[in-house]
Amino acid sequence: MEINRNNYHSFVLDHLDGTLSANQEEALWLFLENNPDIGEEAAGLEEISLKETAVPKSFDNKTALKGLAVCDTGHPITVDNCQGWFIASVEGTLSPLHEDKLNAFLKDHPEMKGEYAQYCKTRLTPPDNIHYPNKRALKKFVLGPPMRRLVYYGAAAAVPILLTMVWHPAFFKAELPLEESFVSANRPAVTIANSPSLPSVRSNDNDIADQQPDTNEPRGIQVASNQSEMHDFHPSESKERNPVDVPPVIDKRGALPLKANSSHDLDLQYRAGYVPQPTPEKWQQRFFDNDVFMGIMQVENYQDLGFMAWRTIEDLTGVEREMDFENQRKNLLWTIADLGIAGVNAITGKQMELERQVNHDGRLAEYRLKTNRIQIKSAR
Amino acid sequence: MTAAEYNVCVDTFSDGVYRFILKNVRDEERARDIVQDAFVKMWEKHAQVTYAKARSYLFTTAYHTMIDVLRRDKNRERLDDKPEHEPFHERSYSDLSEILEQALNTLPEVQKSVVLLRDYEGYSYQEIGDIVKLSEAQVKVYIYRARVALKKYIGRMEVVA
Repeated sequence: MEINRNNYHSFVLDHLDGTLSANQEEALWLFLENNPDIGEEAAGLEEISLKETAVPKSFDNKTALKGLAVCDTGHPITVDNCQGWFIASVEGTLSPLHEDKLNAFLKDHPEMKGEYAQYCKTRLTPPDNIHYPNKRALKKFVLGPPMRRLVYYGAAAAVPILLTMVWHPAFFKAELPLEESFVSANRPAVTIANSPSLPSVRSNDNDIADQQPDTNEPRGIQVASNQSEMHDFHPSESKERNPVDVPPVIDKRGALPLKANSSHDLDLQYRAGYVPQPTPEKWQQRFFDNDVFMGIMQVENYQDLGFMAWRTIEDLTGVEREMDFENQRKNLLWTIADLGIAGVNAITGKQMELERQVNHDGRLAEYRLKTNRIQIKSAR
Repeated sequence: MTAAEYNVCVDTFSDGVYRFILKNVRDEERARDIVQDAFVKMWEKHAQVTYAKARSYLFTTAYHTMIDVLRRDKNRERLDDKPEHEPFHERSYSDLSEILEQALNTLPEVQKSVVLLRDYEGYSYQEIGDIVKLSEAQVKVYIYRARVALKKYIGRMEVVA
């Protein structure tokens, strides 16, 4: 290939790397001799590459741009090559001995001090007012050991909740806006018998009757194993539930007044000393008789289901966490589900996602549980 | 590299990478995108990239992404047929940093990059070579040329002032 003004640069760099053939070397230096303006550049390159012997003596400009390595060669500093020394000084590549030589040179040649000063000014100072604006967005969420354990059990607790959500479309009602969610008066009637996938668990309220004075009043949904025993649920039933005849108890987690017979309420009764310690069977019964059904069919008991899952996490991990039920009622279950999914992801290393879509009324229209390979979708 | 180490990298290196890219592209939004892209790529390879190599990996990735972006922009400019640079004498500068900033912008991309890596980040010639994929000798050449060009620009501006 012929060397010309368009491609000489690559030849010069190849020369520095020592990859040119003898013929190419000869052609390069012939070209440089014929183009002295380019030769000035090449001389600088040559000095930097410490191959002084390769520079033809006929090339006059070679001393004009002595490069960074000139000091290493032991050549004395002169007016001709001082530029390289200046740059080497700015670069911080001069040894103390060479720095002394440079200072001595500047003392002997004060007229060069201005030029040296200009080179010193070419040193850039990093601005301290430039910062990446959103570091937080770049970061990855890291779970500490206690949180990891919490998430692990959260994952366990989330699985039945997610299954329940996927299982029964009536759960969509849990996404009603807050002001609607907890006002039962305007809710439409829902028929339990129309929910064939719900588990049939016989309600056994005898023990409750022992503890609660007013058992004649309807207390929300009554569940039976025989579907013929089921009756239509009406909002008024839930609305008219009588509170237990005990003074209101304030739960340490979120100022929940004692009111009915969900597992949460039973927990409050127990903590307040109004009932003996419930057996596991009773917890289970309350959960299935009330929490799940109430959570599904009665929006106002939605928080009980969430509470139950949260309490499972707390009991299993021994970690107590303050929950603001008043403000988190609407999203509590989703919060736990999200926590559980994060836990599953942390444990398995997979990327499972729970997506929700809300329609213009603020109601849940669709949710999807996605992994890399599968997608479970449930739409209203 | 663990997630915790990655987060330390974000805290420690994001400013430097952002500064380096911003000085080159002179567009905050694009600089942000390039830096973000570099961190995303590093996280994708976090199993292979060690913490000790993270800084170099980030600068290398960001540099090459930036080069791609600048090339695309150049092609677009050619298509749009816009003037590349405004003449320097149409502006006035109050202090050395502004003059240097303007002088820096007159340098070819590769010279600007090596000088920024050298002065802002304190990289050695070899490290700069690894980042911009040049030999050590080539890096020295570019830095040398850049210093000469900067000095000439400063001298010219001082004469004008």
